[in-house]
Amino acid sequence: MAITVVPGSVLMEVTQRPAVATPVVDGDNMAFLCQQGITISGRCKINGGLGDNPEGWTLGLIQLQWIETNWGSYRGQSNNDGSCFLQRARPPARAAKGCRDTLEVGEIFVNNAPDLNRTVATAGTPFPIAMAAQFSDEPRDYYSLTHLNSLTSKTNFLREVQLEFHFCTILTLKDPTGNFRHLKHLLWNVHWQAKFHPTDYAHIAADWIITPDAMGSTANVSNAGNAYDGGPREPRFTAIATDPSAPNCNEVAGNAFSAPNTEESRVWHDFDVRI
Amino acid sequence: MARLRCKDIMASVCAVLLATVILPVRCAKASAVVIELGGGFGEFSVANRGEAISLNSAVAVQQLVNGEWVHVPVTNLYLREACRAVRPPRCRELGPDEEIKAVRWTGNFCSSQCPGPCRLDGSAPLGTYQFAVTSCDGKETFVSPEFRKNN
Repeated sequence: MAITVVPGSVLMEVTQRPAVATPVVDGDNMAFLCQQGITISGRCKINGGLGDNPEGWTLGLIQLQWIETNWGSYRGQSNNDGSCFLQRARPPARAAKGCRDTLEVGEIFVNNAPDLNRTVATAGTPFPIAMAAQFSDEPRDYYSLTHLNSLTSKTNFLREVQLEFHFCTILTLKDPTGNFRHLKHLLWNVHWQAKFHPTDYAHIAADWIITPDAMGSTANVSNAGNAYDGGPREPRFTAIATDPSAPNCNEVAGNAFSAPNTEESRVWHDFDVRI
Repeated sequence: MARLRCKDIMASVCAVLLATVILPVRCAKASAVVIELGGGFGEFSVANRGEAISLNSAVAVQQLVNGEWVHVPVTNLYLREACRAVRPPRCRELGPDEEIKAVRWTGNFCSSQCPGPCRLDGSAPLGTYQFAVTSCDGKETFVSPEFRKNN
């Protein structure tokens, strides 16, 4: 008898729903933080017969990011101070491809909860074996409060930012030979969009007027869906779920943060955020 | 035989003498880089009490688990005195008697030191930790005193 998943034993649920916080000034930056992170839990039981060795069977979670919106616009105090647009979600700053979300490059399972985020079965454990995996996540990002416009040599001030991060989290069982069997998956996301205005252009440490975007239900919200059986089937997920060479989300975001696509104008300009 | 034994003794004496001369120098060199903890959680400084040395800018964090120091996947933690937009270079030169008072570790995995984007993040678990810094050639590792993370 081969080692199998006990029918009806698989569960994946969001045990804490994410909540985004209103953007807040943090030193020289505007911080986009979670008021509360998401917590996702999964479990299953595996069964086997006499002679089956459970050693190395691992239940864990894989997280992929498949959508990123990430831009910020800046304006000078007066029209002739110019304006700037930073785009972190388009090539070449960021490749038009999904990424896998682990702390270190090359990892497959999420690995930010060392004692909780996976169960590895050991030799001699009697069947059926109960396995569990859990992790929490608090995505975040920052935009500098100011940007020096190289065309006008004037300081431009943060005016508006939109961020959208969409994730797919997969509960998966890995056998000792390295094969993955995706048991369940769910989608979740966090969004921020707000306009900003300094109250004192000479002292950016002074209070800022922060106005969250009130347009519809897409800005400044977070969502988490129900879990579906099996793994995601779309190639944008399947191509990177367990590929060791898949881009690492934190690294991809860090590179775009350091080198965004930048547009500048000598005057106030409404940039096309789609580009 | 007696002569041989004498030779052996002489060799041993020489070895001991050499060891007493060489070892302190090696020890001094090995402990030339000192990582000291500050008063608040996550605060640390790195001082060079010896010759100039090139250190890996990335600071590793290790947790004491079942009596062994285990690597913790803390990223973006560097030998840097201030937060800047650009990532520090891979190696950091530390001259004689030079000291770096690093930006403190926040206790998080990804947002560990400076404002930056994180898609996967979280707080490292409670426990006993130490910082580890390696020379840029990877041949030497220097560790801090251990400290507690209580929240």
